[in-house]
Amino acid sequence: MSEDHHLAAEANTSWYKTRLVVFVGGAIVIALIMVFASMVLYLSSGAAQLDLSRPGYTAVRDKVERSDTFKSFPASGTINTKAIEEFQELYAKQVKNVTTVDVFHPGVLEDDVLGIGAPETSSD
Amino acid sequence: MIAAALFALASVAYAQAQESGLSEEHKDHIKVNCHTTKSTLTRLHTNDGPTYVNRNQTYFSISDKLIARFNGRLALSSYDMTQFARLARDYNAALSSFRIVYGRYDDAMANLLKIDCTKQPERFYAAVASAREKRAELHETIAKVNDMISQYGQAVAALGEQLKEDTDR
Repeated sequence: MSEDHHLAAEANTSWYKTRLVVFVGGAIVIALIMVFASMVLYLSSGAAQLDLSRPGYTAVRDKVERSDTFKSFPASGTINTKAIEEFQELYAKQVKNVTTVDVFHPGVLEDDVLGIGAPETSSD
Repeated sequence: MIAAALFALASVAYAQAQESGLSEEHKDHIKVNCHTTKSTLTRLHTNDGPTYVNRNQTYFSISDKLIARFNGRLALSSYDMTQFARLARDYNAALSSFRIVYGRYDDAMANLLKIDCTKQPERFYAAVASAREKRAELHETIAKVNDMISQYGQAVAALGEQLKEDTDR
């Protein structure tokens, strides 16, 4: 009788151990799948480019402007000359920020600028 | 991640295909200037980050906090807003292009910086050409977004003129 109990207890212990390994292994596999899926979304959504917490961007993180300084046009009210003037004033202020500064000019990647152009050969 | 890996492979293949027969003198010139060139490119790539974030933020705010609200008020006031709706749609499409094109440029720059120009000067040279091409494309996309901004502003000004004339009558 006691031997039966002993065998049953051993079988139970073995089953619990197997179950624990399956649970822990399963949790790790699920975590890896979730990490992979989130990385795919992070890279494909364009969030990676907006994330300045990436290595190498620490020094320039302060250059990001705060978005709450942007004044919105009121969403309610009728459209009349006064409303249009108000809109034009807000619009001109914001548009100025993006139209007066020429960014991402390809000239900075010219061979001569980078010092990788073909060296001048002497005609002598 | 898969898309990024495929893009990286495509970029490498493109860079290899672009490898042209540079003269030995030219290769040596690239090798000698390698350190300085890499430093310039790293600094440029790092500074591109906040420039893109700020630009993207401002472009999005113009759409979300100004254009969408103005269109909403036009609709509520029962104005014919066909033109304004089209301009807003075109603006948002141009803004999406800007994000996609920047992503391609950013990947090209990241791949370029991984190349050791002291060991692979030809590949490095071709990758610079590829990054330059993508930066030029990005510059054109920005010009398109700015053009849409200008067109919307002109449409609002025309509506303002029309309302003034209606009030004066």
